[in-house]
Amino acid sequence: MITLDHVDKTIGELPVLEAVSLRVRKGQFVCLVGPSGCGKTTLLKCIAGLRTYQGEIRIDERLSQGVNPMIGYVFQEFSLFPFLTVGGNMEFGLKIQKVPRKERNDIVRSLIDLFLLQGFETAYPHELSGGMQKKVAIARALATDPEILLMDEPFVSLDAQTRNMLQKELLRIWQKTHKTILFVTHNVDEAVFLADKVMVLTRRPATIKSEFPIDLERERDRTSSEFVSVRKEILRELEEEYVEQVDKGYKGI
Amino acid sequence: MKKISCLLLVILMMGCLSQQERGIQSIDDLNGKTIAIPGKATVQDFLLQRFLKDNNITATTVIVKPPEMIQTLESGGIDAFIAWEPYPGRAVVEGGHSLLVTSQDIWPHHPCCVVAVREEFLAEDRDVVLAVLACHMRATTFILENPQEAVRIGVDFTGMSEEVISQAMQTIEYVYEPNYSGIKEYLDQLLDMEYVNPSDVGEVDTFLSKFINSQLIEEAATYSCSNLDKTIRIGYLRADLHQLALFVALDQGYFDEFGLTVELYVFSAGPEEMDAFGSQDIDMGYLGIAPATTKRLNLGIPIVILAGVNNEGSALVVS
Amino acid sequence: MRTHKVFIVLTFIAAWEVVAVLVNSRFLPSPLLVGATFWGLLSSGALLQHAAVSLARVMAGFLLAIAVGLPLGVLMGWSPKMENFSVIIEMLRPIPPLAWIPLAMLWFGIGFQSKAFIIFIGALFPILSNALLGVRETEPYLVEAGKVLGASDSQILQTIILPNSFPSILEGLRIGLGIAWMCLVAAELTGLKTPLGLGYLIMEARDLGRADTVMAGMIAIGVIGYVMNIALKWMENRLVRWKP
Ligand SMILES: Nc1ncnc2c1ncn2[C@@H]1O[C@H](COP(=O)(O)OP(=O)(O)O)[C@@H](O)[C@H]1O
Ligand SMILES: [Mg+2]
Repeated sequence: MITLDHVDKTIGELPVLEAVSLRVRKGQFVCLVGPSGCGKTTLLKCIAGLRTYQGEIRIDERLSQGVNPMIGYVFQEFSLFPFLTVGGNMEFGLKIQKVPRKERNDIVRSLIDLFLLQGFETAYPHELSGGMQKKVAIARALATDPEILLMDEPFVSLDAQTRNMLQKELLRIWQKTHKTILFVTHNVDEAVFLADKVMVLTRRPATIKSEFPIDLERERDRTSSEFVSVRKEILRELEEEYVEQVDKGYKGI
Repeated sequence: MKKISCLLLVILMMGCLSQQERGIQSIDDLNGKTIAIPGKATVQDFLLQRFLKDNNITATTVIVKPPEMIQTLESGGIDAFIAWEPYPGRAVVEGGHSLLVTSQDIWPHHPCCVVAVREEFLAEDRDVVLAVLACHMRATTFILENPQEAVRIGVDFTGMSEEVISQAMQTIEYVYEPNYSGIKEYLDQLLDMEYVNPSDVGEVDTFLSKFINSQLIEEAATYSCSNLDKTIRIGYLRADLHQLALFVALDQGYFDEFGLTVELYVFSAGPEEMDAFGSQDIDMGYLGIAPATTKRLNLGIPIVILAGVNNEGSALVVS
Repeated sequence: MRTHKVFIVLTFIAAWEVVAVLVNSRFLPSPLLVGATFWGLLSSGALLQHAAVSLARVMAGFLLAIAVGLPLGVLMGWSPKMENFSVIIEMLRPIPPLAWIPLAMLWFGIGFQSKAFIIFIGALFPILSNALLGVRETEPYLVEAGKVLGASDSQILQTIILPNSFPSILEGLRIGLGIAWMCLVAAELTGLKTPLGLGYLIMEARDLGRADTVMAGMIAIGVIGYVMNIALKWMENRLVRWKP
């Protein structure tokens, strides 16, 4: 479970997060949507313990301090270690935890199976497609079996087809592993397709603007009227933020 | 990584061990020692080889620029050096080192530096060459007649103390006649040392009669002219007291009297100066007879020897 | 590809021969003469002896440059505090290694150490700055990826930053070795304790006015430098298979 209570963050003089309070229950899949540059990445990094902040962040009931082995993180960038093979990337965290080799090999093998990456175990990242790299990055985060998975726009630079496929695969893996997932995106369609609950962030400094529980049966039909209507509602919320930014002469990043 | 650092340590230690100091009292002590020369095929190289051969000594010769010789001797990098004056004089006066032998001991009255001219330049500007030779003769006479004044000019030229220069000048014989038989002896020995090829020399006297022109210096004795209005590029060796005549001539304004402007080019050893003759960067030059002969033959650099500059005036220094 | 290169080399030699014949001067010996001189030096064993001494000098200076430059470069790239020292590096770096020759002779004499020192200076800066750059330019998200996976600072350095900088470090070694080799020859052109080394061979030949020997020495230097470069390239390709 992730609990944020009035989290503030300023970078230099720039207020990036302002009184962000939210809760992700155990096993829940929550999506955060917000305009580009509003502070989504910053928020995730605060939760992961990679940034300092004011306010309280609790993982389960404990106050978060620094990085936490209970949290896995998937970066917005293609962040695989280029000098390690697929297998090497996957077992990186296990090696740090000094898991014996045999056990590591078993875990890597099961991840390869789970992510349908058979035959690529000894390939280097540059030999993989973007979609595959993302899958390996998710597998790397899951290897140490964290309870929580933070995902920062993981599918952003992929083509639509790959993106849809990976979304389905992610749902399959989530249902199999029962992880708690906080998933950042600026793509409302993706959020509605994936999440139990979608939270909309304001423009910078980001704060929670509104929440939308999505009670649709999975696997969701993007063309169903319920899907479309909730999507429209969220989009409208989000567009307000863009409009106000334009009014204020904001130059987005 | 460990192996590498061990290797490094061994290498450095080997370097240190080879730097022990050993004193040299007699000629025989030179056996197996390291002796510095100013350059291959210099007069000093030539003299040293002759000396080592005469005394049946084997030693390693290395090349060190004369200005660095004393310092290298003191740091133990070499055991002895042979150089032109005033470096031996300086080593004695300022460093308390001693002269093991002087070049007079090795070969009495041996020729050393000469005045050379590019063949082409001689053909084009004979007047200028004659004027330079006339200045050279006058300056040499001046040195012989006014040793005190010459020392002062030598101090200016070399930047060394009066004491050093006075000491150094005692071992130099200033001359202006080209020494045909002396140069012939050089050539014979250069052939012997295989520094030059017999096929390049051909018949020795035929070669020497072209290589040495003794007439011009005679002509120069009576040459006079006041308005040449020419520039002459002359090479010389850094702080070589043998070549004092050039600086006396400059100091006394002899060149001006002929209407000559002199551009000076300095070199650290004769072989370098020969390259400048080869690239036609200088027209005339003061340099040792050994490099002049060697490079005249091996590279075919067309120069002619016109005058002597000095005999003797080098010495082997030990600490 | 290979036949192309051979053809180019042969054409070059042929052109040289033609020019040499046309010029007909001792200043430009023909490739035939140079080849004969080269062969003579090689078969007498003299060339190998000169080359071996030169290589030993280079290796000593080069290894020392690695021993000092790599840790220093990594440290300076890694720690923001140490990075301030790069001012000194940036000030020393533009000084040509050969400008150190007078000081090297003053401090270390004309023996092995002064040559090694010049080579050390020459090789140090590319090795150091490439290590520094490699470390500094490691993407911050790779470091953060290590962090969230539980790696400590020293683990991040060892398992992420160093392997990630490895290509840059190797490149620095290659440049450093090239510069070391160039410095060596120049260092050997001045005072030497042992009258051996390819630079010395050239200097001696110059004093004697033997342009063919000068060229034979130059060729030996070129060939050795070329081979060393190829060897390092080959090593790089073997060790950095993960580079796109
Ligand atoms: N290290 C930093 N230094 C300065 N500004 C930063 C830094 N990181 C983020 N920012 C700023 O904070 C804001 C939020 O960034 P980010 O969290 O990456 O946005 P998002 O992920 O929502 O696109 C942006 O305006 C960005 O310019
Ligand atoms: Mg972002």
